[in-house]
Amino acid sequence: MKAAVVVFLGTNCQVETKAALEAYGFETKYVDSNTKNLDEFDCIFLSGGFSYGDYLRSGRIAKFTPLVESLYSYVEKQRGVIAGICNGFQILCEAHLLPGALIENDCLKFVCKNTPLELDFNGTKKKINLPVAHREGKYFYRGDVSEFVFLRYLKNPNGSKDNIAGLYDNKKRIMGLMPHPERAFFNENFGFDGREIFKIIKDELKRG
Amino acid sequence: MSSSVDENLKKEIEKRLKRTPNELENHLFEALWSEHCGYLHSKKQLKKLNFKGSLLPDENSGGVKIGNHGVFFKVESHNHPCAIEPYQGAATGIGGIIRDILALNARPVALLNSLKFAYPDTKETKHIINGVTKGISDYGNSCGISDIAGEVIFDECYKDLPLVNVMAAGLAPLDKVKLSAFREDLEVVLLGSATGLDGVGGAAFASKKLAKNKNEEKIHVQIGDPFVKKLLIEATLEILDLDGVVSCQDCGAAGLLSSTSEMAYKGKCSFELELDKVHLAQKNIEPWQIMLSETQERMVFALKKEALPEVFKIAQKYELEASCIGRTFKGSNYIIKKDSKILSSTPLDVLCNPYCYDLEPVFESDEIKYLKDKKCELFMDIETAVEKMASSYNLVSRKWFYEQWDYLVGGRSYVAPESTGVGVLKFEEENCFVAFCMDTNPLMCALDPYLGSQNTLLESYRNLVSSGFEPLGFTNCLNFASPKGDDTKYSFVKSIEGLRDCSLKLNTPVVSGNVSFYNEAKDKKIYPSVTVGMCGFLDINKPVIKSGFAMQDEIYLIGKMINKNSNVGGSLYQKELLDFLGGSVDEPDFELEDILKKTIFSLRDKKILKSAVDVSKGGILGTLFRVLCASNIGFVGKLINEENADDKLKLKLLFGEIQTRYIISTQNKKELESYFVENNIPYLYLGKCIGDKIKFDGYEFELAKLREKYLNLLQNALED
Repeated sequence: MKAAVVVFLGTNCQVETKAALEAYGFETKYVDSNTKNLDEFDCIFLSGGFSYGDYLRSGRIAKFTPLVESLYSYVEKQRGVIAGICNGFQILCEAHLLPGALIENDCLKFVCKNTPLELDFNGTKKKINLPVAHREGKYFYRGDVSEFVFLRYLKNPNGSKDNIAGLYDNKKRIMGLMPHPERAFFNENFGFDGREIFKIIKDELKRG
Repeated sequence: MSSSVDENLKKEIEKRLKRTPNELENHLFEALWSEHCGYLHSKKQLKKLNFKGSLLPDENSGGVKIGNHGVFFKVESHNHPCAIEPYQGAATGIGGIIRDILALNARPVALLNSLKFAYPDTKETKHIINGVTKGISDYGNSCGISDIAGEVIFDECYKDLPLVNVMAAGLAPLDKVKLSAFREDLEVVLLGSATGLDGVGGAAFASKKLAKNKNEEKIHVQIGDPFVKKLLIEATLEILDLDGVVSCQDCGAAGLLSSTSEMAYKGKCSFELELDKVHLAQKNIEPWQIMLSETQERMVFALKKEALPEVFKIAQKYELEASCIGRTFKGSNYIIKKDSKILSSTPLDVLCNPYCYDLEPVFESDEIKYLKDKKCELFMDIETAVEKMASSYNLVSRKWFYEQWDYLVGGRSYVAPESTGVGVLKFEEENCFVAFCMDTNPLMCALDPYLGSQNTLLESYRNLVSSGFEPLGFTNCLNFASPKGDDTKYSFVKSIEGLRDCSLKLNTPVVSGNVSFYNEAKDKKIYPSVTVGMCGFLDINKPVIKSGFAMQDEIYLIGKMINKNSNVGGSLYQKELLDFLGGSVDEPDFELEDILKKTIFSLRDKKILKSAVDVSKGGILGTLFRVLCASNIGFVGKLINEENADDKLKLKLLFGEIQTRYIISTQNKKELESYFVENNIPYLYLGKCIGDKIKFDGYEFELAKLREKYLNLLQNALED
């Protein structure tokens, strides 16, 4: 399976994301914001960081890159799975590939800590711990998205609506989450629960 | 010449230049012959330090060697800017120290900080603390460099005079390291942000006391752009890997002038700078302002002409501006041209070699002697003392700070903050972990700068040892008041001598450093604040020792034993509980330090040791309190080992700070004790981790109550 790890100017979690994907058996490649065709990839990963500095609003500038254009056609062709972590999630929302928006945390501060979560995928619920690191991670949506939520905070760190930490689109082909699964992958001190998320993506790909 | 340059310096400049400098040159000298750039009062003293075993201590940052890699680290102060504009001051402090590491072609991988503030109970202080914390957060997080450890100290001497010392560490294969010296016949390229008016005169500003009206000083504070810094980091690392790129330096204090003149002076060749070529952020900017602008996010490269196209290509890829601003050639002059006219040509050995003051001889003043001779006769009852110490800003968790800093980005961070005494990075390239920590002990340095600075260095040393790391080298930031004052001269010289002697005894060299003078305002100055940042090594196959306790752990003290005759001058409890500062500072026992290090490493290897922590601020009980609260575990034991001790003595035994001690835990009491006996290690059994109370010598405290303060005191103080 082939995965693209997107690197915008200002992205800074690509190395860990790539390493985690490779540990899960993916063949990976970095792609930049000018990439116009993603058809060779089974899976597109938008990793964390601060694309273009995120000065206006998280993901606002990244939205206007050729890469995001090619994501639209990737989705249209139903080619593969798209996953956005942290800044990647923000970009997916900003690009309307996922519903809702990620706005400034209630505490108005950057929050970096390990957080307990409930993973709820295909009917099985499980408690996991993942690190979060963001200042604009409060999920907001006017309406009900509960059927698409697969990850909820057990101790809400940012004021997210309905404790939403991660959700997918109605076809389960696009998913976004604020916590960093790639940071809970290689090191016992931060646990290995991140592997659960990569497993879901791999299973979804297998499902076809 | 401008009024801020001393009359004697003016004469010295004219004498060496053999003419009167023109107006532009006046500005050049004002900057390069400032304390901040020229180290006028400290240069002679800094030469005393022990550099033996350090890697490239004369470069932008020095380091230590691990296998085929250099680990470079350096600390820098941004005190003055943070007093005026805390947010930008802290952000650009981070920016500046990152560039120092980057210039060597080392990827910056970790940040640390040592922050000192007044108690967070006034609006002004809270503004400073919030601004500094957010500045570090917004800048460091966005650059993608993890902020792995540090310290925060509160004392009223830092009111309006905050100290913001930031440290960066980077890694580079030794054969890829680039130096800063120019060579003859090279092109010089300026990469990064367009030069503007921000920060003009910053070096001179940082070289004097703060003015009363802070708004007047704001023009001297630089403005950071972490996104551009992130691009600059990636572009610089690509450029420095090109063939034909010879040297590199960042534009920090006194901007383009200080970087290019220093590179030329080091390279023993002339440099001709064409001002028309510099990419500018605005029109109507004067030549002297271009030279002295401290616009952030700029790097200077010297390279062979053939490499120019590749360099510009990389700049374009990262959407950065670059311009070829001059060239080097045989000679020894610094030449500035505009419209083909020479505006200035000065010999580099005059420009870059400022007059240096001698601080010696120095004398211990009667005031310091009086303090040292003072005896602490004050006391309070133990219950009140424990509750007060448990709500001391200086002992509670730093969670409020570090949770705003991304300590995980980059994939190298190995431990969570406060789970050990240090920040740890995984360094798989050399099959090891490297650890860093920062420490300061202003109270001890105020009483006895010689022992105080030694004890500071040893605190870092013990932080590393207690986590299982072999100390390799250290960096330092010397924060002092005006070097014109006799007491400051004395404490500065003695601090340097303390650091030198301690470093020789520990066989741990200094690799880099920074000096910040003039941390004083009207009628008020900071305590001598010697900040040490240390680096250590651990084989990747060995475990990092944690500081946390678990249920049923047996707790021991090893090292020096405190008694009624111990010297506890500079202990936190005297200052916080009794508002007392005085008495003699304890001396370290270097032989025992080494024995304890070997003991901890050996107990770890035998798997007898569960956890270890050095005994520092707050003494035995202060240290226990921190670990028990962090681990959320109770304790029952005996901590007072003198018969018929009164409250005064009890306070001393519980909270007194003496040197050369660790607290360790085990679940294997028998083997541990037989190891101590066989190896003749001084030890004391303290007690056992059990229940949900902290109980000792007839006293009893609810853990939950103490822990609530431990976790939330700072947040409550800073967010009300």
